[in-house]
Amino acid sequence: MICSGRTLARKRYSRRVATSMSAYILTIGCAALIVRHGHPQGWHLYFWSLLPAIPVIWFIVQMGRYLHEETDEYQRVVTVRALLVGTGALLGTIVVSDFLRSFTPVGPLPPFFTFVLFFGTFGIAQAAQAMRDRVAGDE
Amino acid sequence: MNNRLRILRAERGWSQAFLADRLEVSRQSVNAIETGKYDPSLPLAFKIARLFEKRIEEIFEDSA
Repeated sequence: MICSGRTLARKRYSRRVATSMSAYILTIGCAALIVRHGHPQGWHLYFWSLLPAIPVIWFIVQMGRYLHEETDEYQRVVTVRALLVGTGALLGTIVVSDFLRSFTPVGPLPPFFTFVLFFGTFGIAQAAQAMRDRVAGDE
Repeated sequence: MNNRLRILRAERGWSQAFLADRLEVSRQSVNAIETGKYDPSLPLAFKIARLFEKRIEEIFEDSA
């Protein structure tokens, strides 16, 4: 079903993504505070280190759920195309980085770089398609 | 694939939004089909054909 240009699946996805991102901000804040000032050891340290990863993984699950729930086939294609662009950029960068690390003194990629790269290119690909599809008024 | 969707829609005086609503898809989908950026699936093509009371090949034609 479509409401005001956005499908119900898209609205549910946006709501879930907002929840995941709120949970991410909360958990990364708590983890940084506790690890820096509480100096946890052993499994506590692993627990707080991995806690912010849960909302991010949940976010990825929501993408799959959206693709499953989306009834508008064109919107599904647009999202899949953007995911392919993000995945291609991510894999290409990892391959280049791995070869450079293997044969040159270049170090590893900074932490979270791949995460930002994937979602950045995914977002750009979605925005580019939305711009292309934008119609200046109904014809 | 070429199609006559825009012509058929114009003949009935329907807006893209109205057609999208009848087909239960987004307006972007209708626009993408009309401009040839996207070829609909067979179930959606049948739905379009039923709505316009035409055969699929009267709306869509193979450009090959």
